[in-house]
Amino acid sequence: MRAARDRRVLLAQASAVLGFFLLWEGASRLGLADPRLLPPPTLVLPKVAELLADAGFRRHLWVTVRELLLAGVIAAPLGVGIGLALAESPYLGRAFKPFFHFVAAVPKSVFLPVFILLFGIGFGQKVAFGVFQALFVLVIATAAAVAAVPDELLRLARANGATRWQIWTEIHWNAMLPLILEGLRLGMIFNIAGVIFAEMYVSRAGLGQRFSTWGESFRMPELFAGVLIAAALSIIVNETLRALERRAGAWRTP
Amino acid sequence: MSLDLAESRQAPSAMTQDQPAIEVRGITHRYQTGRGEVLALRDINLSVAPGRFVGLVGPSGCGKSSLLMMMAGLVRPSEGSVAVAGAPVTRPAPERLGVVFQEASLLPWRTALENVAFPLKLRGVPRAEREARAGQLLHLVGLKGFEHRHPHELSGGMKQRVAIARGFCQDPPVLLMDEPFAALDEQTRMTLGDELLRIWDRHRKTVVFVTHGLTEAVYLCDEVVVLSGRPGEVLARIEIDLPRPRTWEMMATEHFGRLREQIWSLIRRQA
Ligand SMILES: Nc1ncnc2c1ncn2[C@@H]1O[C@H](COP(=O)(O)OP(=O)(O)OP(=O)(O)O)[C@@H](O)[C@H]1O
Ligand SMILES: [Mg+2]
Repeated sequence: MRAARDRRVLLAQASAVLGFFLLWEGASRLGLADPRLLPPPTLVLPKVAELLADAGFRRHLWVTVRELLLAGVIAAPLGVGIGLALAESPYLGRAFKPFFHFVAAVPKSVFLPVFILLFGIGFGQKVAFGVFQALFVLVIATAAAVAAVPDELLRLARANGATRWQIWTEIHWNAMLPLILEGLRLGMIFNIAGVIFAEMYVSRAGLGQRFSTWGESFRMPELFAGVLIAAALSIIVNETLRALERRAGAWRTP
Repeated sequence: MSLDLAESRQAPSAMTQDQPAIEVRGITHRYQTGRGEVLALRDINLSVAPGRFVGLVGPSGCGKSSLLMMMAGLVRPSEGSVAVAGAPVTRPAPERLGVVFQEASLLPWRTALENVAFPLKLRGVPRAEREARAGQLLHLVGLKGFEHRHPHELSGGMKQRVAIARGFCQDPPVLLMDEPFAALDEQTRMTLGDELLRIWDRHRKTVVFVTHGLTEAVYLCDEVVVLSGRPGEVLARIEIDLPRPRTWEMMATEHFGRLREQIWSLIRRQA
């Protein structure tokens, strides 16, 4: 019963993907769209394999992956740390939390020229911009996670003589982890957007740099293949974090 | 199966018989809220002798839970003080006093078994030992087979029973219970009530038992303290002079009915 339902869902999903590529192919072949602007998937998909096999492209891909990972590794403890400080100190929270909300609302791309002036156009600048993109949502998510820890559970722990450390490990950690992972996931999406955008703006290497070059020289099959690869990369990051989030928060929704 | 699993603990000989197990002196409490002060309790004086089973009744919002939190060292009263076994209460002392909260307050990320064992975990009792005890307690409250369920898989009454089992886990000499049976059906309530009386009789724990059920109050208690509507003040302390052990037949007696009526008339005037 369950298996049959799962199979039907899978079938529907497979047909949707297939249908999408068929439409795309058809639009391009039948001249509904200019095939020079929209190359058909039968041209783009082989290009994906070709690019992945190409050492030159792989170097660009690897630069972007390293920028993303480093930015994530810096942003995660920094964002969680700032979020905890804002939530735990009533004074810091009252004073500075509004600023994080304000800056979170501003599109970070407008700050890119400032980052170029500060950090140049190399690897460091991309990482810094990625951290900047990811930080605010993570800070806000962490502060919200602290506030969402149920008072009654803190009271229960105190009534049973829990130490400060035990209250953190037994109550806060468990209650906050799914919300922080959610913040981290959103932060990584911003991080990816920021890094690729920064590469497209001005850069010597990276996926974004390839995109703008291909775009300017009208190499549409490569551009579309690159977009598919970037999309796959983002989806992998997002799904990994989503799986962690589900595991950490299995108790949240039955 | 029984709740008294711990190595037999001697009766409250450690406390001198004339020293109250709980002594509340002149407690007045105000909560500060965004819209000013709420006077919750006014000049409460109450002394509970060791081994007594004392009920606490009163209209909703009169400060029963607040009073319990102060006895447990979780809330500091605006005025007045509490002493447990002669020692002033300044912070929670789980080995001397256990609490069953009004809300089940279960850790949603832990199983029923782990929830019951939680107080022992905090004290560093090894897993095998604490879970063995927790398993027996779960059996006792009728939750055998539900050890590895998470709270979201349990009904309201089942959660409350897990919380009761957890209250017993440390086997403290004083137990504060805030409407522990409120979410239970009549039958489970009576069975657990009898079980509670049995342990209490064995170990002569001191119990403070908040309830809205007057029949339950008369059936279980040695004495029922009636609080007035907010701000809570002690209206009366009614001695329940029914013989022990209590039996279900007693509920049908005229004396039982008179005691119940006496409490009810005090509360009714508050509404
Ligand atoms: N943390 C708090 N902040 C402000 N007011 C509070 C707080 N806790 C309780 N109160 C107020 O104090 C009064 C007593 O509350 P309490 O929970 O002790 O009542 P109760 O007798 O246990 O009621 P019930 O029978 O409904 O459980 C109520 O008026 C309540 O609104
Ligand atoms: Mg209450």
